[in-house]
Amino acid sequence: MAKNLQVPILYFLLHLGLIFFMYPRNIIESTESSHWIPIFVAVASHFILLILYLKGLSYFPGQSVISIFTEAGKVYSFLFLLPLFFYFFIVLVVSVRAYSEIIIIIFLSNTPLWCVMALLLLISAYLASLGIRSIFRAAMLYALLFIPSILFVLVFSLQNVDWYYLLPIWSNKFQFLTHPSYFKSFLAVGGGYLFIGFVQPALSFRNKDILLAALCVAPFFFISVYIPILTFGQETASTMMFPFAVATDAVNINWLAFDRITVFFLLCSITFLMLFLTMAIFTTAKILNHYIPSIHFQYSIVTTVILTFIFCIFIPNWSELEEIFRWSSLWNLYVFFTTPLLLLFLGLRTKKKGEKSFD
Amino acid sequence: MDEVWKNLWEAFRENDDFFKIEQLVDDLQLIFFGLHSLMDFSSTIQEIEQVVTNMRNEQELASILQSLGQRLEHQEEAHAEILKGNLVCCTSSKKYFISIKARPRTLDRAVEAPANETILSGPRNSFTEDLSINLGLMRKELVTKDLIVNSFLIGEEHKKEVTLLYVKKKASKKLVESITEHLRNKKKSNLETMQDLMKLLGISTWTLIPKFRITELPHEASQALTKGKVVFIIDRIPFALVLPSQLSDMFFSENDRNFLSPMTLMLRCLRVIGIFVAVLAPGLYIALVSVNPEVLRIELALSIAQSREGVPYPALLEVLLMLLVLELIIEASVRLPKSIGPTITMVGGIILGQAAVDAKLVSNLLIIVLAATMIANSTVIGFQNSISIRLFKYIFVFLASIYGILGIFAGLFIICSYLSNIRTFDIPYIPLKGEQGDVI
Repeated sequence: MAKNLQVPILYFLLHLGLIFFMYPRNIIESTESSHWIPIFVAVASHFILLILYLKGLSYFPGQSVISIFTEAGKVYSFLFLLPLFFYFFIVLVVSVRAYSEIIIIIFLSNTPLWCVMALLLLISAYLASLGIRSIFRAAMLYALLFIPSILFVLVFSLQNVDWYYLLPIWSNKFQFLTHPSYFKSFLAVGGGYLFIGFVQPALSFRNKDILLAALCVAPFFFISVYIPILTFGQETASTMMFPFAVATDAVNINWLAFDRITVFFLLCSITFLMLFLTMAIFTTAKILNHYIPSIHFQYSIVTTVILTFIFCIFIPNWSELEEIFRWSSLWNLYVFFTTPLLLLFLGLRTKKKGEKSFD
Repeated sequence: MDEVWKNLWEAFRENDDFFKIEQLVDDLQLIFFGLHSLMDFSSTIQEIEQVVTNMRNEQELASILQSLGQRLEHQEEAHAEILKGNLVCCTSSKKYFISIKARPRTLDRAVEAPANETILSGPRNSFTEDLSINLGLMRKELVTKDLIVNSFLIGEEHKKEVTLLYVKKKASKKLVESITEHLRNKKKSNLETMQDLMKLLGISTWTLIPKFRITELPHEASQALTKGKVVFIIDRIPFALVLPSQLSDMFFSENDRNFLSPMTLMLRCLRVIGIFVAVLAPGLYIALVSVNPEVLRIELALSIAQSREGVPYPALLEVLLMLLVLELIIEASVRLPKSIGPTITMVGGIILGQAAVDAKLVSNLLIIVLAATMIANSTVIGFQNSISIRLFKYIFVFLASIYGILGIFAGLFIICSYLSNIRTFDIPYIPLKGEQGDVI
């Protein structure tokens, strides 16, 4: 298969966009010590899901998830494609609303919320409307432009680290598995991999490259949690809304003209988040287009954006948003776990059928 | 016999530079037509007389004349030949015209050094208005039999010659074929400007990035050819149009390679930085002054605030005002005759440098920022590209005034998205290595 770096790079960026904001807080909330255990469980399940998903997709070369489920029959399409649609839509609403709030809290205190939401949505919709090839090309440009500054800040954020906070290393408490915050953290773990099913047939990729990208993402799950923990300790970090942002805010570089390098770091990751939104808009619109083929793809993007904006406007405050987030995390889990399994099942079934007819 | 040339006479009779001269060569009567403004008649006729003296037989004369030029069967062909500056002749008995290559008046300038693209090292020839001279320059630059030259005559009322150049094994077949097809299909449309050519090729003219790279230098054009691009040379247009243009054209010039490698690298890095400064600096000023001052070190933020003390309007208005003045100065210095040009520079310098700051209309810092922007803008290769960059910075200015630093990143996002979507004949504007294997 041809060598194609775009898909793995986008995969990497999507996760970077999701990891640095809500994920550290959710993990810190869900457990009191030995954070590496919940993170490890999450990363491991990320790999398992990804491998299952890729395996499932490999049974249908050159097909997108939409066409696979449609071919499988109406029941499958109803049971799994429709939840996928609602999943993407809810994720879209929640992340636009949440990240606009984060942006306002961190650096735009005087700007009205709808203004920021409109910006995020419009820009992402613009890129989504240009089509999948442009999205992936743009992703490569963003990687070139922004990855250096992210690495720069990450290196410097080790400045205030106190390694004693790593202790205790082992804990026998596994109650994080039932903590609602832990379920919420799964957005960062499972939010990105489903998009891969929508890439074909426009772009091809090698499974090995995607796994390599996932391997590159894995350390960031740990870094994003451990930097605030090592800087402030569990007690202090658990009181913060965005522990990672505060931890990078505490970094002081004497020779730089800027006081808050966080802003650049957060904005780089927000750019990656916009990529995530772009993919979410693209897939939502694609599924919408699949169900209502009479409207043009561009119009289904417009519809998606307008609906998202209206829903976002109707979420009044952060606690309400958390409520929706908690409620939707169960839905997310359903989608994360059933989609790859079903895909694998369908793949095995078609393979068997193929063998039978061959006999 | 009059009827043969009567129509010709009628067609051009109103022009005072048209002539009809009847000449007796020995016993044979010849009638010559042509335009004084395009040819040197007396020396042309001398040349002809040298050939045709001692010619008794009319048949023989006609064949000799034909060997000097070509036989024309139709009236329209005779019109075209006259307009090209050739001498058209007819004998008293024959029913056809003969066009003879006349000695042209020198209406073209010589090959000179480039006027807009100054080069420090590298060949200094530049294209002129004459198509054949330009083609000759290209042939001299690229000595290979693989260089293919295809000519097209395009236009309804007045025909214009366009040549398409490509290197056989380098240029993609699909690209050449689709261009040729476009040019063949639209032979009737007028071709005067770049926009006309874009319409001919079916490229939208509403784009912020030039789809052609314009160059005055045969060296640059030939190097582009060897990289698989195609080049258009249009009669009366003193530059070559390289298709497709790519992002690297903004900061990579072939002449860079005449320096040592580290210097080449440095020059190219400088241009890349230049583009970023030109696009981002005004927006960053607005973002840091009016929306996100806390990003800066407190000492720096205070000194910036101090320099803006007494400036009565918001940063956006301040920047837009000064940018407008700057753009006007650039436009004016292009427009003005060379002898008055320095005046504008001086007046502009006074207004921008001191008076505006003293009058508390704008801050000191802004002058520095805008000067840096303008200087950085000029590091871009090609005037067309520099105009695009000039336009792009306004996106950042407006977004930054609303969203601060977020606006800058949003602007980068928009521009990256825009650039990654641009394709000319399905060749992307930004070629990426990892993209191979796209299923189209």
